[in-house]
Amino acid sequence: MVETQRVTRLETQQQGAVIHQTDDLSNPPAENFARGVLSPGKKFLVRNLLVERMPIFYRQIEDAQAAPRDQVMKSPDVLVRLVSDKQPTQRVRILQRWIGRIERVESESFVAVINDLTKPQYPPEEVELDRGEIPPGDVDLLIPGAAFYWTIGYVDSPGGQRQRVSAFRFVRQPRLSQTEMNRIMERADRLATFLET
Amino acid sequence: MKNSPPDRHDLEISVFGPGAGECVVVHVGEGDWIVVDSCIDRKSGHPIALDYLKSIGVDPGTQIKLVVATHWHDDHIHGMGELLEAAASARFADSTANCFAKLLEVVELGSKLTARSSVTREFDKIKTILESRRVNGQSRDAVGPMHAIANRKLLALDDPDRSIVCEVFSLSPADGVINRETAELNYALSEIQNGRRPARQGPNQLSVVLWLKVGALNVLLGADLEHVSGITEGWKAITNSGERPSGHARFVKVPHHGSENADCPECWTELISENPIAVLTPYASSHLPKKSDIERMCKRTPQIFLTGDPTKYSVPRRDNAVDRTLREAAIRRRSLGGQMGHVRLRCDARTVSVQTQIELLNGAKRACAG
Repeated sequence: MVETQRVTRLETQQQGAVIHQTDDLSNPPAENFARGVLSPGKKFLVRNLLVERMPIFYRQIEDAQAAPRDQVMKSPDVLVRLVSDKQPTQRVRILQRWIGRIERVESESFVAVINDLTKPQYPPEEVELDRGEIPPGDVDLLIPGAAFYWTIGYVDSPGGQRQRVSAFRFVRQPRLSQTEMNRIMERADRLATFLET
Repeated sequence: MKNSPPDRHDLEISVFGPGAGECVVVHVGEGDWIVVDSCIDRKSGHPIALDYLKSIGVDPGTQIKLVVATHWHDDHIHGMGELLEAAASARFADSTANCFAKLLEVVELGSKLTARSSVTREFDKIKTILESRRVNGQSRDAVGPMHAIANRKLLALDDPDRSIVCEVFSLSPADGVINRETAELNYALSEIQNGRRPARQGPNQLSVVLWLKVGALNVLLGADLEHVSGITEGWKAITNSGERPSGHARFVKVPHHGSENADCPECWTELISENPIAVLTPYASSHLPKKSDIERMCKRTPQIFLTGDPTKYSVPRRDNAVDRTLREAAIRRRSLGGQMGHVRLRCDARTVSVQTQIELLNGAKRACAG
């Protein structure tokens, strides 16, 4: 139960007003923010709200008290229901995935064999792609034998925009410690002796 | 007819090839089978050898007697683990004489990699199957691994009550090349230790050529062995060998997808009979066989058959948005496979003079005009 909150900003959304709340207005740490949708009769009682901007929703509440707009003020008691503090995120819809292996690298392009992960019944394909398709951080990994994932899909932004995207991600291999390598090799040698005897 | 098993006296050679991979399934008489290499039927997601044998009523668990991995290349080993697991009575053979422990090291280390290679994945399964069978009390003789080298008998089915005797010999790899596999595996180990996937696979010279004596007939399965100038490796090591099994093969699986560098002129006189029946599998990635390869082989025998025609492989259609992105992103693009072509040869193994029944299924075709 939160009894006293200070509100730094209020936004109006379709469902109602969203409250960002913190205990310290002068230095609001991001992790202390919570967000709630004003929803009378629900779970949280919030008292003594300080309001910087007057949203439409609050105007409705404050009309009876003739509160001044656009300045910090003490609010009436309102009931709010807190919801997840996650920001609205983009949504990704994957249409196609391959796993590929680099066959050779040319000056401007590279050739890879790709195997369909979305429809494994489809045959492998050989593709030549522009080096510019590779993320700058992965360029060093562009060598023959390297494995990568290629994904094609849609990204829907919170604002309702849709983008078609093509993304490459190279597989980074783990480096084993010498101790672990020695242990693995000893096991392999023991197994070879067992199987060949 | 397509789904009926061969007669107990019949030799059957079924060669499968989807354009990137190959598998040879052989009935060696009396309901016994051997399987050489493996590839996946993309429609079922399972090894084609298992799909086929089950479709004709063969029990892989009791009737497959030998599984051979001719060499550890991607296009020969897809589904090998699943195949061996189903072939509960089979002996396993490969080409890792002198370096089996090193291969296990590569597989063990490679299993720690992200997005590991098909070779690592398949051999990891095989290793586990062999270990499990040995732990359960089966002998190495029953289970393997048998390591193929030149002129080694890998299997003999010669019980007195058999009407068709079968012997399987490996004709390669030759002494002169065996140590090269250790060098290749050392390279792979070094790459893995440095956090990289090995980029290259071992040379084709390490692959296992097989000679099958089935009743009165001989079969030569050429794997991917190449023809080089020296006599200590490749086809010359075989033709120069005084210890190899005698006779001439009436049926040939053409080596290395019919490539020019695997063409051995003297093999066609010293190892192969006149007008043999030859089958080859295409390898679309390397554009094999080329038109010139077909022309050259058709001069050797008119009876050449292909499991598929790579010029007819087309890229599949996908979701419109995916196809649009592919058109924008790819400078060029081509399919490396098609349907699982199947060439099936059957004849009575008790005599050399009987006619061979040739069936071309799922896009398989005759290579020579006329």
